[in-house]
Amino acid sequence: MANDIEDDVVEKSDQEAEPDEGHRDDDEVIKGLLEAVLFLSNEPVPLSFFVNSFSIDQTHAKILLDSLVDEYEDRDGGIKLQEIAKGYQFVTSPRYGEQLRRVIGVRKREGLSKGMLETLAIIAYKQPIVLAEIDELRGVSSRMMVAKLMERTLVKPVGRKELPGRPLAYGTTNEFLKYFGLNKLSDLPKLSEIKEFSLNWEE
Amino acid sequence: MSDIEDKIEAEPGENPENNPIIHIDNFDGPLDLLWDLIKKAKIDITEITISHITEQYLAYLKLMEKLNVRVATDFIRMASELLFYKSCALLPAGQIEDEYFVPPLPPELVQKLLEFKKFQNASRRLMEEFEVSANRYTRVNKVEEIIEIDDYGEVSLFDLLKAFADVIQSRKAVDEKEIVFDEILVSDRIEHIKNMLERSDVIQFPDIFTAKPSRMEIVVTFMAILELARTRIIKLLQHKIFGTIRIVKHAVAAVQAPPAPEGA
Repeated sequence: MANDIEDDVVEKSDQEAEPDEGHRDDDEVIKGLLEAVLFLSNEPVPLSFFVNSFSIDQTHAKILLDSLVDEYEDRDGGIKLQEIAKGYQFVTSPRYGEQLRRVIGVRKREGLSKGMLETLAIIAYKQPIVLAEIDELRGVSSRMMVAKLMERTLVKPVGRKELPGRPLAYGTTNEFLKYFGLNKLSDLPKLSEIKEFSLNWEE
Repeated sequence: MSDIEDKIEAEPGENPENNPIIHIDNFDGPLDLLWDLIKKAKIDITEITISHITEQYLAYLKLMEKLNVRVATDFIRMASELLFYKSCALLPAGQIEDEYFVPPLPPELVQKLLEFKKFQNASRRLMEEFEVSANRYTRVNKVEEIIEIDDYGEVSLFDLLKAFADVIQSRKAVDEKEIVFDEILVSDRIEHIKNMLERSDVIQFPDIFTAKPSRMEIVVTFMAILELARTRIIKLLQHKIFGTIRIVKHAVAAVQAPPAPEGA
């Protein structure tokens, strides 16, 4: 990674034959451009969009974007830049959620019932998973829960399993990532990290 | 399930003295209930006995029935599972009989419970994540309005007239369209295929359609084929995958098929 960046810098200094100072400015200009694009966008903007649109290499773009994320994080103002659902997006700080709802009249997204959450957690960690396996884990029939989750576009069929009857297997969607403010599936807390289910009863 | 817990919590005096289980905050499912019972007993899950937990579980079901709660089948299934485990434990195992031995929960049930708990905790974590992300808002631009304004030019009276004419034209087009109801019946198509089979023993699948079949004709013909196959009047043969399907009279096929399944 580090090499890539250095190459990039060297390449540019060859082209423009400017002192070091100039490149930092260059980066700042590109960073500003990325920021502007993000500012206008309704949807998370994937890294590939920047790479393709502005012909910068991926590592470079990633470094610039991540430093933007850090800048907004350090500033700790009303706006944060968030890596979400495989892209970058400006969001308001959760600190002001309550006030924004009151003043601007934005609505709070509807939460999920306990059963839906349970089902969703199982699907998220065990995908692709078939209905029967979900039922088995929860000890109750989960057909309704899966149907409701599909309605909310949080899960979708992702294929069929080579089991008797070739049942549909379910997985989570991009919407799921957005809903929980995750960037990618591996950002889910590790199951082993989730404490308890130890054998003592300190809850 | 929430109505169950409401009703149970609403009636705390209802339970007999040997049944100290009433403050279930929230269970939705037999595993949840089971877990709660074990927790109430304050015993390690590996040490609790099957008979103890079965008793409690059944007492709970009875209580729910008493309160006129419609007990979900899932709960009853778990009860029978528990009874099954219990009866298994009661059978002599052929090992050294220990008078004081109390059979614990079977490991598969313990495993199931722990696994369930794991995901229940995971869902709690997801809930926390949701709480944070539900407080973040993103912008909602109306993209079209911003971008496309420059693309529109001035409109002359002529343009306006033309646009008006276009609308009139398109209305006419719609008005004049005659809706042709082409009636194709499955029974007709069946007759047609039967007739074709009178003339030759084997028909190639594409031949049963007219030159330019309408969507209706294709569907109806297909249904006719299915019906004929179902009633064992025809037999469908194919010599290789994606090869042309041939339609054969059932009697003919029965003779031909066993020795050499469809020649060329």
